[in-house]
Amino acid sequence: MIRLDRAVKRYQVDNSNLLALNYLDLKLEENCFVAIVGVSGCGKSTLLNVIAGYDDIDYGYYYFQNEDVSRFPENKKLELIKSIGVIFQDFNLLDYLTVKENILLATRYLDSRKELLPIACYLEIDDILNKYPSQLSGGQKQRVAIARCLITNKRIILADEPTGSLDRENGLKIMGIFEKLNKEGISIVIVTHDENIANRCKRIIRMENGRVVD
Amino acid sequence: MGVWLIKEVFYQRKRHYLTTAAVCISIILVLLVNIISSHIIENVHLSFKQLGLNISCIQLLKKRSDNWIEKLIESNQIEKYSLYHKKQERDYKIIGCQSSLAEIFTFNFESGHFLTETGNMYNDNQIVIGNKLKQYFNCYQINESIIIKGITFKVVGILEEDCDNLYEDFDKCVFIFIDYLNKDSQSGIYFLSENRLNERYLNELLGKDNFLFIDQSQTKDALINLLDLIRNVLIVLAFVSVSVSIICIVSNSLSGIDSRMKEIGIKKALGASSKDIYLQFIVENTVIIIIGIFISWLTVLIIVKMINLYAETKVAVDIVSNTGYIILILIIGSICNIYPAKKASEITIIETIKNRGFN
Repeated sequence: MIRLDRAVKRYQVDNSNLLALNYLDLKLEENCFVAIVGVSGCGKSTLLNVIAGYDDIDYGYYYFQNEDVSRFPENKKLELIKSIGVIFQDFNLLDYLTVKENILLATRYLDSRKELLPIACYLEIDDILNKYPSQLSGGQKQRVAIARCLITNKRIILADEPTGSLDRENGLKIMGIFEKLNKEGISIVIVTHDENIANRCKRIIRMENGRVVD
Repeated sequence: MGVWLIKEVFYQRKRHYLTTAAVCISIILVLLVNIISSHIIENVHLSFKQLGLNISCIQLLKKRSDNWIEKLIESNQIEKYSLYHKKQERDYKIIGCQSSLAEIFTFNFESGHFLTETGNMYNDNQIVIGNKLKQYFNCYQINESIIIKGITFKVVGILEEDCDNLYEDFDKCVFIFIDYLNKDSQSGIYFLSENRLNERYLNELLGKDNFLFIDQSQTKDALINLLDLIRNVLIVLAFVSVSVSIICIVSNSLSGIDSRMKEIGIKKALGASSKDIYLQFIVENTVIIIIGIFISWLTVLIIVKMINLYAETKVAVDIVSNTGYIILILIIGSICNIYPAKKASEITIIETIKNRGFN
């Protein structure tokens, strides 16, 4: 499904090159449930940005569904972005839209969409659809962010520290949702530094200095 | 889509209420300047007409028997004219004229009307008297008779008070048909002409020093030019004010891009293309200007209504020219919005992540 061969990503920091991805090789299968772990600055988030199509690699290959992403024209790259759902630590909901509007925002740019209510019931947010993000708890916000991915029928969800802003109880609840989604065939890739969270995934990828070490 | 758009416009722009208010005030200024200056110019034109500034007069100093009038009318395409004979009596002036004089001078009547063509045809001894002569002739109503030089005239019209202009004080004039007065009187022609008469042409036609040419068009032109200049300067100033307001919106939009990094990032991550973001910014700013125009137009109509209600004047709203100005403002606004919209659309998701707007 996703393959990176000798992927390199450099950043210019204070007149010196920082190798965020250092000839990284990675293969993620269909319906995977993977945790990417590592210390801060090891390149986890950069890897996530590359997989999501937000950033390009400077060298190497990135294959998505066996197609070379580096050769993608702009419109196809947009299709890649549309086909992958990303969940962030800070939820990234728009404050001036209600929960319902935040979820449906994703459908503005996509043709395919699922019914809102079953997803809301599934994620137990059906009673807060008309509330604004400022009226929600962290756990509720993260479930809204997940709903935003599900409404457009995403088959891959990347989550960057999805439990980072949540208490333990809510964190476990979110992980439970991810497990359920994975059982339904959705591939889940979680970037985390929390070993407890990583241990609940089927596979753990450890990163160090921009490389996969384990 | 509609609800989102309205929410986005109002949420994102609530910081820009003052700028929107400035746009409204500027648009109101443009429309009011246009409406009020048009009204003033229209009134000035009316005053010019009442003063006789648009009327020319040739007064003969010597009696003539040639066909100079036909030549003058034909060669100068004069459409409205009236021949006259004038005679000054001790207490009043008699003006012998044609009924067409009423088309040249603006007469207001206390009662009745001016001399009519049919009256001339049937030798009906019609007379119109100035307001101050009512007492002199002891005639206070129309259809009464008065005798002048042994002829009995029927009063068909009494002019309103203060009916005078640059040529005559009509309050102390009586008007009769020209045929009644042709001996020992001053003769000439009053006329309206789009083209100003050339004095050299008149010298050739009538002979030098044989006539007096009285023409106010120079004064009228100077006044109209001055009024037009004032109006144009005011409209330009109002447009400068509109432009400044629009530049403020553009500046706010540009500075707002930084604070809207998160929103742009989220939308792009959800699949919005650069074109979607570009269109969103264009639509938002255009909506602001349209709202400004709507509020302004409504305010202007209310102001005009109030003026018409409380002032002794009737201000008319010229829809065509004002719509033209509104379209112009919309075009300026839309063009100015292109740059910030382009800037916003060029922001990448990774830039928003690095700027910590989106994390």
